[in-house]
Formats: sequence, structure tokens, C-alpha cells
Amino acid sequence: METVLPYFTEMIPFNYICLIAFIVALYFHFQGKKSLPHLLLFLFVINFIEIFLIMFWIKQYKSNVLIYNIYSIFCVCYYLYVYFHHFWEKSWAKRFIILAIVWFVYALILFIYNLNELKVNTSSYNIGMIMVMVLVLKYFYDLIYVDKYRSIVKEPLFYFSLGLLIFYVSSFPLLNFINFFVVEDTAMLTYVKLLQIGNVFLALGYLGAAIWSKK
Amino acid sequence: MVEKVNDINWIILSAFVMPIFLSVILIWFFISYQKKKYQYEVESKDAQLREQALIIEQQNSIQNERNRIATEMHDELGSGLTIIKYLSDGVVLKLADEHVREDVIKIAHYSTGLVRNMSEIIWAMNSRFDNVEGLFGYIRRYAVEFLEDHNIEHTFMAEDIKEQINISGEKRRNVYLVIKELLNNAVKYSGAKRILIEARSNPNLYIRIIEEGGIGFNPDESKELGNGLYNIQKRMEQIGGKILFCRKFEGMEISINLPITPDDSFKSEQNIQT
Repeated sequence: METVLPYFTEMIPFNYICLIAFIVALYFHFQGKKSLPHLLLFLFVINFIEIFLIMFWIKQYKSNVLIYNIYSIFCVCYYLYVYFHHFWEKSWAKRFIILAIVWFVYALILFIYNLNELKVNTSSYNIGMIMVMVLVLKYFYDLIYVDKYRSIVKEPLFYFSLGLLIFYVSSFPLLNFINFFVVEDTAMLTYVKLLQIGNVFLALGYLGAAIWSKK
Repeated sequence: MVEKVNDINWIILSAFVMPIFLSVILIWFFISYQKKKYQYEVESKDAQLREQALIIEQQNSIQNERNRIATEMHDELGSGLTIIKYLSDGVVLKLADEHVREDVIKIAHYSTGLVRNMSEIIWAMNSRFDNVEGLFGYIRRYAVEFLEDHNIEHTFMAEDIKEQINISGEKRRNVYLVIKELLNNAVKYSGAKRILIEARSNPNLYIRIIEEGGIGFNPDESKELGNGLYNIQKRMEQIGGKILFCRKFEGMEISINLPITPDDSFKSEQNIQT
């Protein structure tokens, strides 16, 4: 207990919201309600990584860059999976998936290539997230111009998409130039605080998706 | 050093551009979505109105058909049965054979009954009479004729109805048949010397029948014995009404209560349009 407790005391608002989202998703899972595909598993993994693994890695190896690089690939993969699941019936989705595979291979190569360097793979993360943003915008576009009108108030994917959009677009300067901030100690503290604000929107998106689970 | 300055420039640029980009997307999305929602609501209302118009059209055509059948029954069958009755009456006077006379009298009697029953059906079918005033008038006519035939003193009191209150054909017919059965029972079994009928229509349709000077009956016992009371209860339930039996010192008090719903008005308004 004494070894686990410090992890919880160091939690930030983003972690709390993610944890609540996981509890909500778990509760609705036992009630037989469903939200986004494998959201519960995803929330479990991100909570485990964010609360325990990243903290553990920092304490153990003084840096979380390695975990962050794996974590970013995992997140982008899940986002792409959610949108491919949504757009699966569309003819272009199958072609788009090839692009996603190419990105994944590139991200893996970059990860292995930079394995021994203390460097965040911003290019692979940004390319992946730009692909996700294209799908998010396509989802919004379809909501307005393609699909029949439906209420978005209780649509999990809407909250998920909104959270991703606000998080990524507002945090883009920070995420894109992360390596610049990492070497600048004075800028690092401000950077972390700003990124945490962006992360809150992301977590709220997860929470919204979990809350509006359906039977 | 140059690289670092470049990075800072890019950070500043993207820090300006990205929030603008985000705002544009969000504003575009929510305005467009609201517009789509508004269009959808307008279209839904249109579809709803079209659906209602279709239902009204269907009901009107049913009503027209009912009215046509009622008119044709009245004109063709009614006049035919009346002729049979008068011819039978005429033949009775000319016949010498007692047995044949009795049969012809029966024919005349049945014809009279059929004319009366058919008149009731026509009255129930015709949407012209879909109002409380018409119902009270019809009940009054029947009650007066029936009770006079059986030499029972009677009083009929109905409130002065100032505006038309609509009531569906189904309800009218069932209320009328219930009253008919109640008066029949009163004459047959209660031995009442005087019957008072009181009719009101505000806010519900309310009819009270007071039988005086008779033996009355216990409704719980009578329900087990005969079909009459069971049918009366069934008819009232079918149209959403209630009937209460109350035994008095010398006689009975029976109250009928029937809510008049907006649906009755809706149906009758359409009938007026036709």
C-alpha cells in the first residue's frame, strides 16, 4: 500500500478525470451498456500508464520519454481504430487504412531508431494525429452535410471527437516543439502546465464518451 | 542559435494560428449544426401535418361512408319496413281466419320493432347527431314514449345547453342503450311508480335515474343472476364511463358518469367539415 499510495498523491486533474471515466465505463459495462469500441480497455491502459507506469519510469530512470513514445503510438492507434470502426462502411475507409499501416510502420521504425536517445518522436505522433484530425473533421462534416439529422447530445463519438479536436489543436504548438521545451528547463514547467490544460479537454472527451454509453 | 530562433518563431506562429483554426472549426460546426437542427424540425412538423391531414382525410371518408349508409338505410329499408307494417295493418282488418290474423299482427309488430331499431342505428351512425344536445333529445323522446306506454309517471330534466358539446357516435349509442336497458329493467322488475331522469353535461356527461315507489334491487346479487347489468357495466367500461347503483328506502338511484374528451371534439369537428 505504501508503495502504491505516492502514485495517487501525485495525480493531476487529467488523471482524476481519466480515472472517473474508467469507473463510469466500468459501471456501464456491468449494466450491459456500450460506448465506443473497447473504450473500457483503452481507459484501463491509459490510467495504468498515466498513473503508474510513467511515474514509475520517472522515478526509476529519471525520464518518461520511452514510455511516452510507446504511449503516443498506442493512443493514436486506438483513435484510428475508433474512427475506422465508425467509417467502416465507407469505401474510402479501406484505402485510408493502408495509410494508417504505413504510418504505423514508420512510427515503429522511428521508435526503434531513437530507442537510445532521449528524444520524443514528435513527427510520428503529429503525422498520426493529423490523420486522426482528418477523420474527426470528416465525422463533423458528415454530421452536418451527409448523415440524416440526429441529436448529438447523447452520442459518445461526438464528445470523444470534440475532446480530441480541442486537445490536439490547442496543444499543437506544445506537442510539435516538445523537444525544444525539454532542453529548456525554464520553459519546461510552463510547458507542462499548459499541456495539462489541453489534456483536461481530452479526458473530458473520454468521460463524455463513457457517460453516454447506450444499451 | 538560428535553429532555436526558427523554433521560437514557429511556436509563436502556431500558437496564434491554431486557436484561430480551432475557433473557426467549432463556430462552423455549431452554426451549421443548429441550422440543420432547425431544418429538421421544420421538416418534421411538415411531415406531422401531412400525416394528420391524411388521418383527417381517412376519417372523413369513413364518416362520409357512414352517413351514406345511414341515409340509404333510412330511405330504402326504413320506407320498405314502414310499408310492410301498414300493409300488414290493412290486411289484419280484412282477414277472417284468426290464426292467420295473429301471424299478420306479429309481422306488423316485428316490422314496428325493426323500424325502431333501424332508426336507432341510423341515429348512432349519422355524424350530424354527434353532440350532447342530440343525445339528450333522443333519450328524452325514447323515455317519454316508453314510460307513457307503461303508465309510469315520469319527469325528464336536462340542463339548457348553450353551446355545442361534441360526443362520438360510439359513446352516444352506448349511453342510449344503457338508458334503454335501465328503463326496461325499471318497468319489468322494480315496480317503480315514478321515474325521474336528470341529465347534465358539465364538465362530464352525467345522467341520474331515480326510481321511486319500487322495490329496488341489490346490484351485487343481480349481477350474478342476469346478463343485463353485466352488459350495462361492460358498455360503460368500453366507453370509459362509470355507473353507480344505490338502493334507496323505496327504489333506486342510478348515476352514469362519462368524461367528454377532446378526442370527441376533434372527431366531431371533422364531421362538421364534411
